[in-house]
Amino acid sequence: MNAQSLFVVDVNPCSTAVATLSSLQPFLQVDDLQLFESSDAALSYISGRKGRARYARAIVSHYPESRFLRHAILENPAKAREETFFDEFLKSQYQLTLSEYAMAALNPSTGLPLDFDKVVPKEIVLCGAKQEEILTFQEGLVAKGIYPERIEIGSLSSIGGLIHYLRAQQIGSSVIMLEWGQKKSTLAICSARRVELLRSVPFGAEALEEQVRIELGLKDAASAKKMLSMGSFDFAEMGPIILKKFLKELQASEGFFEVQTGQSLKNFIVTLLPPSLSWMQPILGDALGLSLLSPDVSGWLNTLGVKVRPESVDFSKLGSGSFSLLSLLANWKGESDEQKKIA
Amino acid sequence: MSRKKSLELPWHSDFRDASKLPDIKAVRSVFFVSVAPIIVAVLLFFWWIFIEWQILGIGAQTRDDEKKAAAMQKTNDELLKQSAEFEKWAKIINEIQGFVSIPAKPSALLVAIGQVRPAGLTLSQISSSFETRAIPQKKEEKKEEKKEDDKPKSSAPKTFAVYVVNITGSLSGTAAQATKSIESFQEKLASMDIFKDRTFNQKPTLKTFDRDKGLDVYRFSISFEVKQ
Repeated sequence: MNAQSLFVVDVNPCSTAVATLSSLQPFLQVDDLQLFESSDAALSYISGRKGRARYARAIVSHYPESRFLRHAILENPAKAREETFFDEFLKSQYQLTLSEYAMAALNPSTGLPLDFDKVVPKEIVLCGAKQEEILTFQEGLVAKGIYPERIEIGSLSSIGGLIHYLRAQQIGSSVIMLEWGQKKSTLAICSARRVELLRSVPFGAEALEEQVRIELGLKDAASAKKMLSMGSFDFAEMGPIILKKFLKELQASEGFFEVQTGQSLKNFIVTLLPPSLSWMQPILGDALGLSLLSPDVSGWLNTLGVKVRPESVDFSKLGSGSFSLLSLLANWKGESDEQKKIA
Repeated sequence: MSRKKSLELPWHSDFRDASKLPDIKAVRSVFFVSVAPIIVAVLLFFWWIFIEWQILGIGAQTRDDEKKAAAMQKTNDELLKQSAEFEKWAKIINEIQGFVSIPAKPSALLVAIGQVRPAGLTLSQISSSFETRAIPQKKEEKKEEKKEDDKPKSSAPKTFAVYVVNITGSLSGTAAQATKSIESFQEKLASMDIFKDRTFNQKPTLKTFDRDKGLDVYRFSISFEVKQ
């Protein structure tokens, strides 16, 4: 590792991907790409490569359990300038206490934080997580000798990545991004221009396990979890039944969007889905009448201004995880942008 | 939630708690120092010391020399005074030597001049000096020289030594008497026994003859040259 190396890390519940960047000036140069099953192994790997430096520099995205992502419509955007507005708004709309959360309020078109000196848009994107949870994660990084240049919430950077990809590939129709979660999943509909819709779907790994347990008559959820994680059981037939509630929610959102906007959806993408649950994707596709979006990684890398060392970097080994990692490099031109931030 | 203007990147909100991050401010322990300016500065410093040392040495020598000059000033003044005195006496001695070096004894010359002095003639000064004269070239020789243009001319003419005697004095009486007396004096001077064996380069010649209206006398000066 040289002094200029920067690690780009996506710590997601399924695995942790680590890219080592040697050149931080455009074009970015990815020298190495590793995939780890556990985040501990990944952080130890980074720590081991910091050499004589006190800290290894890294841009890290993670997915706190307490994270939330909302697409809010403000009745009176001018009121958002008031100091206490978001305290009351979060409490009344989402039953969240702002003082416990680290939150970002963004423009759904630009992805930039709201500028309260200018006109506040009617629609905004809110993203955040509990401060305590983020701090615990941050301290874990520092304890491992990793200095985070940024700690991002992967859900948000993935949305930015999707919008960047749709623009780069000139895809005209909107795309559903489904982020699989433990207790709930997040549905995002994005076009090349903006975030169109964000919704939390109350169905995740826990609900799936419960459905499997009921459907197969298992004793407890642990058995169902084991069965799901092994990946040996063929859920192709049973899938639509155990996902019925989930599919219903998704279809409702899809229909709502198409009716509201008059746009028809063509593609969808699923993130954070464990490989053992990959059988879900065709079922989702069939139910929603959409085809799975397979990102053109090499084309996107070119658009992102990223060069890779072909002998040591193979994004295909990341599977669907490559999308989250590459999203961290989207809308970012390397050190020149970092310097602008610092200036 | 921060309401301060942020320069965050789009879709890359930073959720760190910056206050809990370790301080990684770079401690500058290595300073880049250019070696060349230091070498130049050191060389200039030593050069300056060398120049100062030389100035000190020259200053000390100057003070020593000034002391010596002050000590020798008195002696120098004394010697200059003596030199001026010597010059003065040398001039006088040269004059005396010139006078006494004539072939005749000065006393005998004075006696002889006194004997041939006509009545009414008063001598006021007799001086003698030793001088050189160029031998006049003959006309024939000059013609030959013109013909022999190729031959280089002699660098200096041949010379011979003469004793020049100047006599000044005055005559009383009328103009006719004075003229007669001075002519008589000239003739007598030319035929003095003291110059019997001598050759005149210039016989006694009246150089000046002027009337002094105040004293009503005629002042004259006669000069003659005798070959050695």
